[in-house]
Order: sequence, then structure tokens, then C-alpha cells
Amino acid sequence: MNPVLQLSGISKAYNGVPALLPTDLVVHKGDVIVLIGASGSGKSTLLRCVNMLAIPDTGTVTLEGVALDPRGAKPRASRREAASLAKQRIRMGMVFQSFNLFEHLSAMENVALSPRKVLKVEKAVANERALDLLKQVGLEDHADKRPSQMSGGQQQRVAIARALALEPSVMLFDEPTSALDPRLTQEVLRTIRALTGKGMTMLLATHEMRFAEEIASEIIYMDAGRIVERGRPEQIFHSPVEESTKEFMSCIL
Amino acid sequence: MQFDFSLVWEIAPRLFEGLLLTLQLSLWSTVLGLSSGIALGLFRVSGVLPGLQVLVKGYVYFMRGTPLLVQIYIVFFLLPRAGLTLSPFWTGVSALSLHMAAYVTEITRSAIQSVPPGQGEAAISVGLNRLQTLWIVQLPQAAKRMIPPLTNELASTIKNTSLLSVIAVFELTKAGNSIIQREFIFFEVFFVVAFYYLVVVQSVTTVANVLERRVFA
Repeated sequence: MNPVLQLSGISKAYNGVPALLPTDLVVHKGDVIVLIGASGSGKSTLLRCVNMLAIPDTGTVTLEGVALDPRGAKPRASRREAASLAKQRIRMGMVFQSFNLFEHLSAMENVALSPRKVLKVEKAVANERALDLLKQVGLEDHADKRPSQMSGGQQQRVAIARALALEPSVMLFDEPTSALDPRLTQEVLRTIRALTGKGMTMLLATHEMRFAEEIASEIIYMDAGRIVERGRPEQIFHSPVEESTKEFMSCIL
Repeated sequence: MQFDFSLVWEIAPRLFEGLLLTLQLSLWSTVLGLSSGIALGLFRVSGVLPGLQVLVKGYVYFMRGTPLLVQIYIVFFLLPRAGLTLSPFWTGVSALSLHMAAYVTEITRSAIQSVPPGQGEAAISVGLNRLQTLWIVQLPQAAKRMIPPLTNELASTIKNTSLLSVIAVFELTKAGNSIIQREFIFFEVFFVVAFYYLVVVQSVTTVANVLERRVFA
């Protein structure tokens, strides 16, 4: 069976400064791969390269056996190139550190928007499905609220529902709780944990180490733009091999 | 110096015609300046046709960096040379709308770019194309932010019509001036003229405030 996602030789530099050195990664169905490491170690860049929000300088991203065409992500992409990339992007649900909800739309509209506009689902059907997803993340009573009327934790759960609305085959989380206080962090983590219970394939960058250890099928430790060490959570957290990993782990309370 | 209120009542109706012309000049300049400014602003955001982008940038640069009075003279003397002879009214409308369009271009561009870029990334990640992102996500949020600066621009345009007196457009200020020159009444005339401008600008501002509170709430 094809892996859900395969990165080979993906690298990215910003203004000549390498953010991600050539990196390989294979994600199989049901994997929960958690990226940890200091800020600036390349976790976000890796995630953003996966759905081409950052266009990789080298390498290929293959989703469900089909390589993504980076030409579709360029500002001057032709309509066809852009459309073919969009079709693959919606197979990947992205959750951002700063939620990035559409501020002028209600929670329900945020979730129903792309099923309606991209998948051309009828409004009533899309809304019903959106309400269902909001229920899944515990926000059915907040469907009509705007993002500015919700807490950060609620906003992030709406963002998760929005990403799930397209029934993606893999979810990408870019430090989903880094902008939240401990209590709100817990409610978002509960939502993510519930998703792993349903067998969702995930690639997740986080600084929540206990959570990482609990849900990960594999931990990837990154430093200075490369994968330094990877393995089962108990191995990475309790018997790391590399010096850099050891030092990072010693910082965890 | 005496101020005679009875003169005010006598002058007020005699300036109606000038007021009407000022309103017509403002209306046409706004319709043309606003629509072309918004179109140019959208064009600037789109980034397509790099050659034309430079041209629009240069146009905005020139319009913002030179006095309107100079621009009015340029249009007044240049259009006939280019074989386009317009009435003073339409010459004035051309100058004012060219001026306004430059500012509206920048208002539109900056309002769209002030929508947090994260929302644009979110839109991409859920598969919206660029036109959908602009139309569904960015424009509705930009529109609300555009109202206060556009209101300023509209008020400026109304007041700027007074400069068209230099090319013999008989708008409110020019009409007032001609009464002064014939009858040597200063204060009463300018009192009425200023009052009319205030009323017009205030009504526009009030409508804009309602629009901002109700329609784009």
C-alpha cells in the first residue's frame, strides 16, 4: 500500500539561510508523527513544505502516490496548475498556530465555506455537516459566533473542524497550542487526542512534551533544519542517543 | 466690518446653482474616481502584468506628489492638445477623478493587504483559489476598513471642487466669488459658501458612519 505522504529530499532556505536541510519522511495511514525541537529548528518549515505553503527548494512531496506540482503554488501559476495543486492540498488539513479563522464569518460558516465553494456541496448539506463537526469538537452551541467572540481554544477547535470538513487523509498541525494558556491548551489537546482515537493520520509540531509522548507513534527530534533523531516516544524521551537530543530533553521539566 | 444676517438670506438662494454644480462635480468625480481606483487597487494586489504595475505605481506616485491645482492645469492644457476638447465641467471631473483614483488605489490596496496574511494561507489550505480568496475572504473584511479613509477622500473631493474655479467652472466658490466681485459683500457670501460645504460634507459623513455601523457590522 502506498504511504499517505512521502517527502524525499525536501529542503528550504529563506534568503540564503537554510531553514530545512534535505529531509526524507514517510507517513503511513494511522501514523501520528510528532515533530519536536527548539524554535527555528525547521518543524514549521517542514510542515509548510508539505502542503506547499512554503515552496520547497528541492525534493518532492508525494501524497497518496501522486507527486505535488510546486508550480501550482507560485504566484504566476496557471489556472490549471493552481487547480491541480488545490485538489491535493484539500486532502491535507492544516491547523495553524494562530488559528487563522476567517474573522468576518461565523464558526459554522468558517467550517462550511470550503465544502460549499470548493467541493460545491449544497449549502444546507454543508451547514448540517459543519454543525456535526462543531459538535465533534464540542462547539455546537457556538456555531453562530464570530471568531472575535470566542476564546483562543474555541477558535482553534473551530479551525480543526474547518480542516476536517474536507475529510483530509492527513492532518498537519503547526504548533496548535503555542498561542494558548494551559487550560485552553488542554481543551485543544483533548480534541486532537480524540482524533487519534479515530485513526486519523497526523503530522504535528508541538512544544507539549507530555502530550507528544502520549499520542505519538513516532517522535522526530529536529535541530538546525534537520532530523537529528527519530524513534518511538519512550526511546526519544528516555534514552536518546544524540547529544543534541539529550540536551533538549534535559530542558524538559 | 459688519455682518448683515438679512444679506445671508438674500444670498443663500442665489448660490443654489453653484451648489448644484458642486454636487454634480462631486458625484461624477466620485463615481469615476472610486470605481477606477478600486479597480486599480485590485490590479495592484493581483500582481499580474508587471509592466502595467510599474505604470500604475508611477501614476499614483505622481498624483500623490503634485498639487491638485497643478494637475487641474495640466489636464486643462493637455487634453485639448491630445485632441480631446471637453467642456470645463468634464475637464474638471477628469482632473478630480484622476486625482481621487490615485488615492483610492492606495486605500484599496492597503485595506486588502491589511487582512492578516494567515487568513490567506488558511484559504489556500482549504483549497480556495485566488479569486475566491480575494472575493470571499479578503474583500469583505477590507471593505469595512476602507470606509473611513474613503469617506475622507469623498469629503476632500467635495471640497476640492472649489479649485475648479480656476478653469471657469461655475461651482459654489466661483459663484460666490462673482457675487463678491460685483457687489463687494465678503463675509456674508463666504459664510453661506462655507455653510453649504459643511452641510454637504456632514451628510456624506453621516451616511458613511451609518454604513460602517450597520451594513458592515
